[in-house]
Amino acid sequence: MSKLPLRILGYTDKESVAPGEDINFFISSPERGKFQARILRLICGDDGPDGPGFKADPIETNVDGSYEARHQPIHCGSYAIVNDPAAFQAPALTLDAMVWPTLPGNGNAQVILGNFDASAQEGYALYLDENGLLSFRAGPKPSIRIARPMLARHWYHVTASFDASTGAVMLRQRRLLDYALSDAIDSAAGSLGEVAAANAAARPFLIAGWKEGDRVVAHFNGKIDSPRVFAGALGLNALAELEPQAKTGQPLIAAWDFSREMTTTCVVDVSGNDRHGELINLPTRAMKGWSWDGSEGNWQHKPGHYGAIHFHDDDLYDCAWDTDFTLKVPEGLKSGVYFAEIVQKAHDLILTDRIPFYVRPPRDRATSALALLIPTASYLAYSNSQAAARWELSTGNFTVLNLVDRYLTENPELGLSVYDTHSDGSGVCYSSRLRPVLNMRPGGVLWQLSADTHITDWLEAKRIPYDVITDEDLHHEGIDLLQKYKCVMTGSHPEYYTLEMLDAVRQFTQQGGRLIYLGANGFYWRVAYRASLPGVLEHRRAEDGMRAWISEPGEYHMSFTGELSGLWQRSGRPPQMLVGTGFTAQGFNMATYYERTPDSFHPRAEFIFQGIGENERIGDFGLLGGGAAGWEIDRADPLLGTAPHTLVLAVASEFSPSYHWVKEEMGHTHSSINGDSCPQIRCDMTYFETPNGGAVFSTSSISWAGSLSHNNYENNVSTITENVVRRFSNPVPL
Amino acid sequence: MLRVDKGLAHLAQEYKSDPLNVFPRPDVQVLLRRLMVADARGHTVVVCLEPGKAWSLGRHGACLGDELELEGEIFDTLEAALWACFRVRWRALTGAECPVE
Repeated sequence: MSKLPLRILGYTDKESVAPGEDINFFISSPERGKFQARILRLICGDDGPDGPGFKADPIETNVDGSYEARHQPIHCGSYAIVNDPAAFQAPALTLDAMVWPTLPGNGNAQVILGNFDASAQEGYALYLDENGLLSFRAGPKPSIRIARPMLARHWYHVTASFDASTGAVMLRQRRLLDYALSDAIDSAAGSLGEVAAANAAARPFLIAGWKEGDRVVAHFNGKIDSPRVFAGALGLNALAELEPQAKTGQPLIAAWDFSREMTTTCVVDVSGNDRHGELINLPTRAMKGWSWDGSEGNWQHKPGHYGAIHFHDDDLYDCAWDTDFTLKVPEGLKSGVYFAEIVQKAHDLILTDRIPFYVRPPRDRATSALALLIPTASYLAYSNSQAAARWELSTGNFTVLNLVDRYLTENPELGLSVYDTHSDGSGVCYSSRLRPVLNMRPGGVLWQLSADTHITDWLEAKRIPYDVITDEDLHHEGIDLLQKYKCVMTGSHPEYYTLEMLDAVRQFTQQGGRLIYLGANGFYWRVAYRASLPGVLEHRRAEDGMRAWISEPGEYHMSFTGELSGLWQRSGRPPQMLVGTGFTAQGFNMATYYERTPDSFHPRAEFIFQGIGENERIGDFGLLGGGAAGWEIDRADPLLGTAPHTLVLAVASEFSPSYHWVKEEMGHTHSSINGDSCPQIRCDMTYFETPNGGAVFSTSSISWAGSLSHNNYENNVSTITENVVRRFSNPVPL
Repeated sequence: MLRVDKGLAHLAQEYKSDPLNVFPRPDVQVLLRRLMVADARGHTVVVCLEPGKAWSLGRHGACLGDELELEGEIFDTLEAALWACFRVRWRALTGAECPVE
């Protein structure tokens, strides 16, 4: 149990909301009493000692007031539930499944199939016990188990039969891989004696967990494929003759084919009895099953090879808390970044949380020529990331953890990000915003949201009108959303893009729109949303790239859409094709300055450099590493799609050895991949025109926005940005 | 692979003189890489107690959910905390005390 200070926490049902619409807030407090809530418009979320300071303006809304504080729990762990209890109360039955356990013997029971309730000590279950032994239990009786523990990451065919009238239990496991010096087949038989409680009450049938009161616990870690339930208790000989998925004369109660309806949360019963189930907390679908033979890597082409679902004890989709208050967004409220501030006085503690959301303009119009496109897909990808412990070889110094890092690592029930691995070491493919997300709050580390408020702060300081729109808005509305604007500006790190988002931005630039790419490592990873599951993103770390983990071969295609995930470059759409530059290096211990190139003196670029001296270093200051070029950086490359008429206006190249060249461009490893020796490690500021009067300007650096406020917003980074924003927002042809 | 022992005391001294140097000499970089880990779970790390003001050392839990064990000493500069972390990592790697105090 964590000894860190208690926290009041919350989240919303939507990320983006328009005037006149409602947004619900869900709050949980560790202490009873009252909390106060109010809404503020966020100007700057940088609360560090060196920055422009935290700035937010309170807004009078219907939310203002006091609310009853209560605890709302989070239940992690995925499973499937089949709500036809009576069907599984058979007096005798046989259970059959293919399983690929990943944490056998982790000290916990891990359920494969059954309707056991641990609180009532009723029902039955086929499961792995705390030592990784295949076991069967019914009612309160001790289990029958196979003596040989299962091996992790091996496919097993497991079967069990049970006759409630006699208490007879037969168990069998067959490992598909046969090794010398180890039997692949094991069985056990025994009697539980009279077990009237086994079928005493009708209970929901679960796959990968069992009930304990109102909760589901004993989550399975690993894959389950083709589970079936037969009526009648087969003997050991008959169990031995059962082949996975093969038809038998035995009557079926249910047989689930996990390769059906792959893009949904439904598990389909193909027995003809329609005992379909529902997946809870998003276990990973589109996973290689026991019959995968490497002949196909796309589940859509051979769905039968992808009959497995990978369950985890730390999966989490939706906390499903009850609503505590609802904001009715006032008509006429200015578009922008907002947050609900929650404050509770409890004993001698003051508990607070700041829950961000985004107010877009009215849905039928823009209210400014400029839109700030908040990269919420990227925020989602990083949500509650545990990555802080894995960066020291990238930063060049020892790990430094902050309070949020500690809270997240000590409270894993808040769920994981697509930068993390599950408790069994497998990569996290889904990240949801329907939970408190501690690392995407105003304040704290200058990364994503807080770093992007350097942009809102600068826009406010320069009195430049802007609308705020989000990635979810863009995904759902496409070019219709963007074409309301003359100019669209990105955040500092718009890394994750769906096909719909990328198509929309591309169309925008081709139809005369002007795009300011005010960041780096953008448009890099391919992700997907699913319309029927709001607030969750899917990603696979396929093939190559600067990966936090590596997808298993054959698991590169997303379950939500079937698309190949991984790098956009590997789908033939490198970022250079869209914005002129693409990710080339990262390092997090310093940033540097740009120097003008001859291209910057071209008449086409004159408007960009008005007020900038010929030999002036651009951005030799800033809040992120002390320069405008740094953290993550991009470069132009004609071979990757940089347009031939692109002007490389300025280049930064003085990077430290802790900057590392991206691995997807390396044919083989070698010694020249660091900032002090690798020619590809440079940051290119670029400009190019697009058809129909459009244009793209790219700073190619995450650190850029952190330099805008230097010297009270009077500096050359600010000047260049203002020159471009004002010119791009002006409809006069370029 | 670089053998870390008391013969590298001069490199330890160089790190101590400026733990936040982003352009350390190549042999200092190699020493640092030997002391660093790809995943700090289960290892000693620096913990920021109050931004810009107070740091400590702590042992990161080996598994998700494990509590981070804070050590008692509080440092008033990040540099001091990094140097203390260096010495702990040296001991963890070599089994011997870092020859530089």
